[in-house]
Amino acid sequence: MTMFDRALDKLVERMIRGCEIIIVSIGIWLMVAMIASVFFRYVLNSSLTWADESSSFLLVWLMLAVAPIGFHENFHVAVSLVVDRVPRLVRVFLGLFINSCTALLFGIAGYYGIDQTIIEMGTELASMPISRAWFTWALPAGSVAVLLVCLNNMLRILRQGDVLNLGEESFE
Amino acid sequence: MIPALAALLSLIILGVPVAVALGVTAIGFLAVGIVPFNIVSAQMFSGLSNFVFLAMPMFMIAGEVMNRAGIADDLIEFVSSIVGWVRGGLGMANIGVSMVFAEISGSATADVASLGTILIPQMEKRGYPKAFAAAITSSSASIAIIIPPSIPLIIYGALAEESVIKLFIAGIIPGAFLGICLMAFTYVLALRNGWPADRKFEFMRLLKGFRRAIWALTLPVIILGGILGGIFTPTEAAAVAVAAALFIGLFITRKISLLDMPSIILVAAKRSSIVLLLVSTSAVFGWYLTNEGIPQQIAEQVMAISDNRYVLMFLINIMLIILGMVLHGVAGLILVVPLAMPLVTQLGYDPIHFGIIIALNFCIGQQTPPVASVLFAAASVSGCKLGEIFVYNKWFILCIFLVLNIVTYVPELSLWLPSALID
Repeated sequence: MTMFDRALDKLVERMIRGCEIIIVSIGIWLMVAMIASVFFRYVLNSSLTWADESSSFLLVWLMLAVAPIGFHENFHVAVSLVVDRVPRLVRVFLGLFINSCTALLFGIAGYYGIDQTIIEMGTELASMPISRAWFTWALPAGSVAVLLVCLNNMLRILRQGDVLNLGEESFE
Repeated sequence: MIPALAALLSLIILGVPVAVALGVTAIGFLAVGIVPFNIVSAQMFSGLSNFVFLAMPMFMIAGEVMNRAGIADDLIEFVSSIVGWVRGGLGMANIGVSMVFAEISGSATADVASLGTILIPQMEKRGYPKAFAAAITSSSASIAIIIPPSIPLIIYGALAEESVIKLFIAGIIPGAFLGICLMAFTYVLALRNGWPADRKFEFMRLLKGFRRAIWALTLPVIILGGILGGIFTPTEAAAVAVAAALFIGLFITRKISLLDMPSIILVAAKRSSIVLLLVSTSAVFGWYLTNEGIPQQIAEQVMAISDNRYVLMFLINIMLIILGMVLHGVAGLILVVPLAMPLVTQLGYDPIHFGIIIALNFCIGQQTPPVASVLFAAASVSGCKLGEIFVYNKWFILCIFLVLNIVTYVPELSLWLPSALID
């Protein structure tokens, strides 16, 4: 295990912890904002438009903060029918292929997400004077995190022959 | 049409996460066309721009809070006091509790995990085979996919641009009907195998059970009452459900503290974000399909098979069951909705009705390997082998299949209540 591997492992672990802090913060915000929104609408007869709009946009941040954890812990929805039944060497190749596909998707989404963020810099939310770019920024940021996780996964696969364990967690 | 779907299915079969497979397939076909890649990030954003998606993490937080608040015991005692006096009563109580629990958590696996650990040992102690207890826990948990607040119905509503409120209301009668049919099957199995009644009916026990379970029953009342009464939107109902669940967990049962909130939020956020990523990348794939006119091509080709809409719907159901066997329900839903909607409209089916049909199909998928997420959860909780559970579960799968066909060919079961309450 090289110094680079160790540093990357550590970076990914810290990033995952960071993502968890973001997730919990957004979760608390969503709970408070949505409950407050209902209270204001039905009890005080006045709607909190900023609560609805900011919560909708924060959903993108939530999704992209969970995405790297999902690829790190292999809990995204996948079919393990073939992967579970092939020899170890094939699983290693499949693991590399799956992580490459993931990196391709998030590489493209993140790269073009930067374009979108630059465009959105001049636009503000309808309900408050905050640039929409703060929310579209989630895609490049989340994509970088996913790319790091994919790189780490591929190195782990090559280094230790770590194989896939798909569908460890069910969401249904 | 065929290359795009073949590429997508190949990636999925090779184990690529469905969300990634949807995005990568679209990217692959965009690369050979003239459309710029900006569409990928733009669609990933716009795919989530529906306010109703906020209901998903909210319902999941409410479900997780109630789950940890320890409501399962109270619900089991209450439902058991109602149906426990019939032969196979504990099995029926299992189904009844699942129906109420589905109202709270909206998650079938959460249902199996919380109820299975309590009910399966109890049923075994009273003389039921453990495999039967696991089978009934697994099958009845799948009702969560159809009874509000069903997460798949929220996603269907957003994808098909249909009212989630109408879908929730449309799911009530088929969900209750499925529960009653499962109870009838349990009764017949209990008679044939000589399984006992739980104990005699006692009014005082019912009253006591109701008093204990009243807090657990609050959430279904808020969710159903709020939505049916036209007071709340689904997202608002979800927010109120979170507030009520927190109140119950923190101050009534006192089984959770604010320190538990981070882990509760993490669990709920992970579950909902997996689905959100699927929705997000499916928007890219859906955009590609629509741009190429693929759903219309599929509709034309299927319509050429037969001009009888009932035959075609039967074929669609079989196809959905097969899809449900190899894909998780929500992933299958996301894949099917953009492809099938033009066909369903041409066949003259109401999209609300079709939403319930799809949900019932994926109920079967949750019980049939190789994917069978809920069945696997029941096997894990009970410690039974899949083959042992399947000896009994095949009857319940047959029951769900019969209900599916009745709901398919009797649209009033799904459409009467929404039209009576909303239209």
